[in-house]
Amino acid sequence: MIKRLKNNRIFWIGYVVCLVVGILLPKVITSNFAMNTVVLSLIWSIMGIGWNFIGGYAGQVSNGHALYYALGAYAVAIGANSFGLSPWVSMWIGMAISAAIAFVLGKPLLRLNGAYFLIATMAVAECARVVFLNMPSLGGATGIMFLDKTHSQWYSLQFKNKETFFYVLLAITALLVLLSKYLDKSKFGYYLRAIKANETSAQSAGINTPYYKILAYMLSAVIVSLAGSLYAPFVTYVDPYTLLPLDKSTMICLVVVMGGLGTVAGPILGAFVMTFISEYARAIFSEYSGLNMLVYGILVIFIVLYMPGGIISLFRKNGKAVTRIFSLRKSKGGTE
Amino acid sequence: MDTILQIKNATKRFGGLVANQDVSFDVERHKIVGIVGPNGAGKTTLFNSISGAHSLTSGSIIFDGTDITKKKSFDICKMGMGRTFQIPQSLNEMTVWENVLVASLCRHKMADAKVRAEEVVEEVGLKEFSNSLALNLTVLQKKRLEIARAMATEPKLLLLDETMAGLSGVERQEATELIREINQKGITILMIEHVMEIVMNVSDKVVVLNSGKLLMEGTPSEVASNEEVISAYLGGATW
Repeated sequence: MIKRLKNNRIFWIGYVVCLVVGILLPKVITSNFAMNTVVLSLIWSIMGIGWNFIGGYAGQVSNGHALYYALGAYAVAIGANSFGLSPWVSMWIGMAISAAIAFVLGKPLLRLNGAYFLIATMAVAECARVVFLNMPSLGGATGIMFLDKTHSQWYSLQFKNKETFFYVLLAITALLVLLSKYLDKSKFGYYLRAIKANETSAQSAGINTPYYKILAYMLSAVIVSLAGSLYAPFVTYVDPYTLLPLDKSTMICLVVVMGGLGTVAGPILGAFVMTFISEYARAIFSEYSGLNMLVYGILVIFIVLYMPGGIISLFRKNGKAVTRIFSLRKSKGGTE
Repeated sequence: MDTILQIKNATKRFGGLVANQDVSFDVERHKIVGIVGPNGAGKTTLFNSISGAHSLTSGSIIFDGTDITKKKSFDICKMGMGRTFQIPQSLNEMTVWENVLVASLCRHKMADAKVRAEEVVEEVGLKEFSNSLALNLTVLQKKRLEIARAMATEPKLLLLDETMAGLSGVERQEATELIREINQKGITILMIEHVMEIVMNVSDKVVVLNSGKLLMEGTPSEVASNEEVISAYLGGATW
């Protein structure tokens, strides 16, 4: 009991510290590029928080969540372009569509397990890409531009300075972390963990596993869709190539796996580390095309090798990652 | 007498293999009923059919007045039937307390479930392991955890699948007492057991399965003296 309380205290201290740092961040950061990276990190954080429910807690690794990201982004783009809707409204439409599609797809998909679920979700996202590419009403391959100069910035969510948008994202992320924290120790959270650990056993303990799996899948779809709805006004442009490539879906899993599966802070940690590595590798090695991906890949391999529990394992009391690095050095010295 | 579980002409086929054929018997409320039979007699298959892990090919199962033949295991659990698995199916990445909590959430809201889980963990004697991961338990402790998880769902009928296998004499004694205690709380018990000494000691009624069929049912002494049962266990061809 005491241990649990201590864990809670660490979380709340961390939460407040991160919020304060977040609020002060725009005052410190001067470069436009760095601000851009921070904004992208927050969007990835939201996606990670969403994916974590189905992939992290419930253990059903989906490799097709770019679909919901695209649905959210397209809802905002089409809403703004055709109906003059504010993203504040169309994001809810996007979330509702995502929830409905997740419900319909989840029914058959969630009967599958492990690699089969992964492949099936991947196939669905790929299908969606082809559909978006070939539907002129959805912008087709050229996508939709929706730069809005007529409405106010708060209406269109298209801010001239990134600082304001950053604060909007920070607030939404902070709320989602609270949701995640609440669900983590709720009946829902425990049920999802039980499903991940052993589905047969979970059923015999009275858990309606199909129901909770689909609930988790829908929740994750809705949150990822929200991330898409926030990304769209940031770039004011949507097209299938940027929203629905296969590596987008994979990146969503990667962010959570890197940070720490099934933890509250993991997705945020993962999102920041991954986005910073990726963006800065791209900027630094811009002269040699492809070198950034090599550096990125090597760094990812190192994280996976030394922190199998994700980056969050560095912050755990028995920080295994640190001891592992040291013990490896020792054993290397011994063999040499 | 008041029957809590009625099995009527239960048949389960896996392709060409008939695991249970035309098995019928009743379980009376508040009693301990033992199921015995040689390996491959279809005991665990019958358990899986009763608890809803899979459905019967034909026949029906009536639990507490309701037909549960087609019901899923989580619904059956909610109706008041708990079960343990022959091979412990604990939630390995979770602590002992969390394992029991998950089961307890089936009946209670979070705050109550937490307290209840702690009580159940103590009842089965796993208190000192409350915060260790189920992964790190010995097989014996895992079997206790199985009982704890089943008990936490607050069943009217408890199905125990070979909880005694691999236990030493003293441990068996402890486990037998635990089963009696559970029964004294008014919980009916249906148990599969290989250890004859315990079945004969504890059970009010014994059901014998052989090659998927019901060989006989009766009091422990009737069963022990039955020629057919003896030959089923020791080999021979009386049928």
